[in-house]
Amino acid sequence: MSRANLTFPTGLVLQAIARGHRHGFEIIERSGLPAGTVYPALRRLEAAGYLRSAWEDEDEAHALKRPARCYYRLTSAGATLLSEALERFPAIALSLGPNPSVQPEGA
Amino acid sequence: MSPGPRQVRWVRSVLAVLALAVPRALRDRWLKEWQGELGHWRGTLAAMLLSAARDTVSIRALQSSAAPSGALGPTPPLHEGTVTRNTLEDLRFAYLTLRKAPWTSLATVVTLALGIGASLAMFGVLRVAFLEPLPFSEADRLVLGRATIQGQLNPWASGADYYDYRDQAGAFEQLAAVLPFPAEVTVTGGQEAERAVVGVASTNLFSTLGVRPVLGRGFVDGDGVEGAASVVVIDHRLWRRRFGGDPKAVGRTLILDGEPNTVVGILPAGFFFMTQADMWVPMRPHRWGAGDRDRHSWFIVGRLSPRVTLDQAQVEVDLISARLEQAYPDTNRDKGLRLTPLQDALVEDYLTTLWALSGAVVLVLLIACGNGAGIFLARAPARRFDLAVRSALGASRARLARQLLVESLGLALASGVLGAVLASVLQRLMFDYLRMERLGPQAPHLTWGGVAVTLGLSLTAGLLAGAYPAWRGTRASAHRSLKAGERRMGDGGSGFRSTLVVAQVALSVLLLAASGLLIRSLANLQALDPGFASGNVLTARIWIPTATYPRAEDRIRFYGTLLEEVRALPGVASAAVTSHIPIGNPGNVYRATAVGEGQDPERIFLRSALPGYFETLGIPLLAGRDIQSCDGADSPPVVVLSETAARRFFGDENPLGKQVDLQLTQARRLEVVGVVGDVRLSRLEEEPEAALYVPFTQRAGNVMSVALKTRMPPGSLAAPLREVLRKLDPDVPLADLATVPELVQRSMADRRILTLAMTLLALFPLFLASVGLFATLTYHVSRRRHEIGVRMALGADAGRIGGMVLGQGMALVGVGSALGVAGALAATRILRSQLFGVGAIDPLTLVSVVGFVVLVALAASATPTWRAIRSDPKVALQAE
Repeated sequence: MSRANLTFPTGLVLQAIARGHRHGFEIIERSGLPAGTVYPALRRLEAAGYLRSAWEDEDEAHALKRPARCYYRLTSAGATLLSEALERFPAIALSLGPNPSVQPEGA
Repeated sequence: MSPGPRQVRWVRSVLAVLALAVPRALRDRWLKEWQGELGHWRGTLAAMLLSAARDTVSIRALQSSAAPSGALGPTPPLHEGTVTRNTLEDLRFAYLTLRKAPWTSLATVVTLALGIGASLAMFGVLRVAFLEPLPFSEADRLVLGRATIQGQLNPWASGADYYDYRDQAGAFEQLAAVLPFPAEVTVTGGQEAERAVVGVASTNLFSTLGVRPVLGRGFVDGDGVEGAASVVVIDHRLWRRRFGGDPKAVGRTLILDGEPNTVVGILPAGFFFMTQADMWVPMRPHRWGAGDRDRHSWFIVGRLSPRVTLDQAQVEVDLISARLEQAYPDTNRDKGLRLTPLQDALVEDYLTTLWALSGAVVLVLLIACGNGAGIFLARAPARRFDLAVRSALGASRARLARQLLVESLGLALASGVLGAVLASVLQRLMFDYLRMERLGPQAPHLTWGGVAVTLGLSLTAGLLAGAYPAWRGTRASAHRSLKAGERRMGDGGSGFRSTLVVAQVALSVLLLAASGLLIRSLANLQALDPGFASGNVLTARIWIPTATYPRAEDRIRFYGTLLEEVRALPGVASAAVTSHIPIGNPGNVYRATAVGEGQDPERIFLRSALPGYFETLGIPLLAGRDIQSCDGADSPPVVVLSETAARRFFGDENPLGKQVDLQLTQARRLEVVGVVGDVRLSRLEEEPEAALYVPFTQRAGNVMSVALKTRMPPGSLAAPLREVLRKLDPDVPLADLATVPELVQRSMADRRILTLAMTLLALFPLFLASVGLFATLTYHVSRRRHEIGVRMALGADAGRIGGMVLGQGMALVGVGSALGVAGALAATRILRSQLFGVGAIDPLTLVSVVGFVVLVALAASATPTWRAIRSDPKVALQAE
């Protein structure tokens, strides 16, 4: 993803994932962004290597009586992108409430 | 919201379908992910599916620009996006914008939908009447021949004349005849007895129309000669009903009124000609009066030979008419046959109504579009600010224009859908009330043509309503519009809105004038003295089969007994039996001459009746005596004349004791014994014709009507009447049970519908006009608040301020009314055939209509005027 196209909603999606809201609808719920914004952002971010997705363990999901979910994590490039986003749109940090734990994958 | 298991299953299958839009490599993953989140979704399932659909679009967008390297490739720039995504955004934004102003949007949609619905329904009716060819092969070569007497449509021809035209005319491939009024028979044999409608037609009717039976054969020439075996061709529905669609029905026997008839053919489903007959029997010279030259009961249908024009055929037919007139001067004097293209002839009766309604509907559609545009325009100033903001943020002009168009098209589409729903309801109503019986049963159906027309109409309406504001909106400079003053002060197309009010007032006046004339005609008819007293009279038609009652004395005995029995029923004040109840089918035209007066024969209508007829129907006896029981079959032939008949035959002389020659197959000399008041015979609109009443005993037919004058609600005597008849002869049914007031009302049903439709169509623009006037004046008052404040501060009184505002409104109404009156003077003429007792240009109607419109306009102006008067100069001045 070109850095010039880093938008507020994209930053918000990154921030939500960083806060541990790791699957699509949870991100939608936490960020308050419409599904029509979140999903395209997830697709682009993953395609560009800022996110990686992994499937929840089938048995675990089965125990909870629901289908397995797809979880997203930030890559290190994603973590860098998030810090840029926070710099450009400081409001992102305030948008999701107080839980400032950034946990990039493999960091 | 937590979806139930059924909904979840449903959503899963929709997701599975959506997954097909995802590239194959990613499909499983995509589906699994969305299904995984199904239980987590908090919004509506529809919203979730919408998101999923959008997700497929974004995945495809990523894929289509995918570079060979990355898994999903690089992304397209976020701002410009793809066309698909921009359109989706436009749609979403349009939805949000429209939702912000729900009343405006709703008003626009409803207004447009009314216009579209009315036009679409009307289009459907017109299509059936004019555009769709009749369901016969090469229907454009079919013509209808109707008899004329002294150039006036009679309109039925005599059977004997038909045979001559058929044998002598070369312009036709085929020339057929059909009885325009269906007969009824009782069908027995095999299953339970039922009443069925029988069409009577010459043996070549089906081949003339180009209709082939699906099974068996049509009639052949031999079926139409006297003494041939009785055959019947049955309708598809009767075949299904009575034979269960069994192919072996051909060759079986149906007992019709006690006589066996062999089924020789089965007509294709949906066949309809003139009447919805259950079966058809062949015309024969000695049945149905077909051999007589003076009994006019047949429509003639011809198929022109190829390359023969209607005019050429008419010339030939005129020659034959002239020959017949020479050969049979007694019966054929001044008689002719007028050819008309079949379809034109069949819709002729409905023409005025159809065109008047179409004209009104088109005007209403125009005004609806104008109003839609007006509503949009009223919002233009507010929108312009919004557009200016977006433009300042970098949206291109094309992008903004597109946004506006998407908005108006969205409205148009919604109106189109609502309009289509309205149309199907309206069309049903129109078909029900117009009752174009001669065209066969009509079902409203949305054809592709209709759908195309709706789409066209709604898109045109949307563009009209949206394009102008869009064009204006994008032209506005961002800088100017962003100034606070501009935000409030935009002129909002006030010139356009005033024009709209004028147009709406004009249209209301025009349509109200039309409906006013129709209402006056209706009132005139209601107030008319039809010549008979109709209250509390119950009537029914009785058809005794000639097979069971072959001789006149049988029929005289039957109806005589019937009359005695019904007279004895409790609650019956008096009873009558007659061949023709007034208001309805007037029967044949006959000719009669006054003996010794040396005059030409007069056209007359003939009625036979049993004693008590005039008393029961309240027809006054003016001179002499009425028909009495002493008038037997063997006593001297007598006649009672209507006033008009007496005057035509004998002028001012006393007609009693004079004689009249009635031209039947043989001339019959009758002595005048009485004179009764005139009666309107077929329709209230028609002046009373000359009528001759003869005793039933001296002219005993088999089809009669019974009339009971009752001392209680007439309906309560229906059951006792049936019982009397059942005891007399269980095989004779009772038909057309109705009270005389019902018959009278029924004869005016079409007129009432036209009046109602026209009035509703007129009230619609009047409503729009008052809303428009209210909005325009409110707007002007708010714009001129400063000026009003200054005027009041300088001492202008409330009357002056009020007058100023009212004057402005009334100026619009005045111009509109003047235009409307001018339009009415020019256009109400097309209603002439529907008017009764009032001219097409009627000052009283015009004055009342304008007065009514002005009153409504005053009411609409009241609030804005009041506001202007009550405005506090201090506040008004501070506001600026």
